[in-house]
Amino acid sequence: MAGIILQNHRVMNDKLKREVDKTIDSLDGVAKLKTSPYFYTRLKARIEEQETSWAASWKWSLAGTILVIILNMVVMLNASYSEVSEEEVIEQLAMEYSSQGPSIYNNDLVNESE
Amino acid sequence: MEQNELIAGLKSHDEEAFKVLVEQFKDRIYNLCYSYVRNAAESEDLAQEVFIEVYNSIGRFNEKADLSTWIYRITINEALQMIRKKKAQKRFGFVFSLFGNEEKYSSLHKEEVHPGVSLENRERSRVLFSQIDKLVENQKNAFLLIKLEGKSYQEVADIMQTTVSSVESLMHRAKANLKKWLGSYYKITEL
Repeated sequence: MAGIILQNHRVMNDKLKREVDKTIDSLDGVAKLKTSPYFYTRLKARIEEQETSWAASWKWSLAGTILVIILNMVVMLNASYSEVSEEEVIEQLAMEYSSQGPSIYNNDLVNESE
Repeated sequence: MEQNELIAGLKSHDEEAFKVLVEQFKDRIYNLCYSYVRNAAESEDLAQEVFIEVYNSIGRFNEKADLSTWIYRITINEALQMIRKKKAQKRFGFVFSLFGNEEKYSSLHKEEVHPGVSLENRERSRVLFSQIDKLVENQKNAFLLIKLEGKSYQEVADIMQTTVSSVESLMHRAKANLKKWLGSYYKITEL
């Protein structure tokens, strides 16, 4: 009985091994595939499309850079034309930084007048 | 056209040289692409990507190296990238399927049975390819290049930038894994 089971097991294993080997060998002698006749034409079209999109992006970035340079020049020119005198600047600063409340100097002035 | 002449032409973006290169390699590259993605439309798309990459980066190609090896290397990299992208899209497609857009995503990237396989081996090759997809990238590259593309161990070593003994070892492990997984598959389906 044990002999029959062992023999069946061996037959099964051999069958399994054969199946596995046949499957691994199923790729032997596979026929080579061919590309479509329009392969090169399509490829060429894709390359041309890529080149035109690159050219377009170059144009846009160049236009953007020129625009930034022009804007910078306009701002710089405007700044040089609106010259403010030194006195005016000091006056403006004094106004911006002067404290609103009475200072100790004001107190001294009050004491002196008394 | 000699290789040196061809490379010089390619480097100066000469159209005739590029056409010669495409004619020389298109079928080989297409076949290799097909063994990775197993879809005619995607393989053609991928093969074109390879040639575009060759066109764009020929300036960096070392003239002392072998052009064919370099193109094969580009092909494998592009193919593996596309597979990674497909896997990500499949995961994304699963999310969409939850919202009822399953059809739109399942129709994309449908894998076909290799048309070059004989009729009696179609089912076996389908089973084999499903197991090949489980191999780690290096083992898969070595197995496909040797078994499907008929490359020698030396050629594969050059393409993969490794030694012949490493390729032998990769091939041995790939076969052992496939035998183990196919054994389990046939045990489950009870032959």
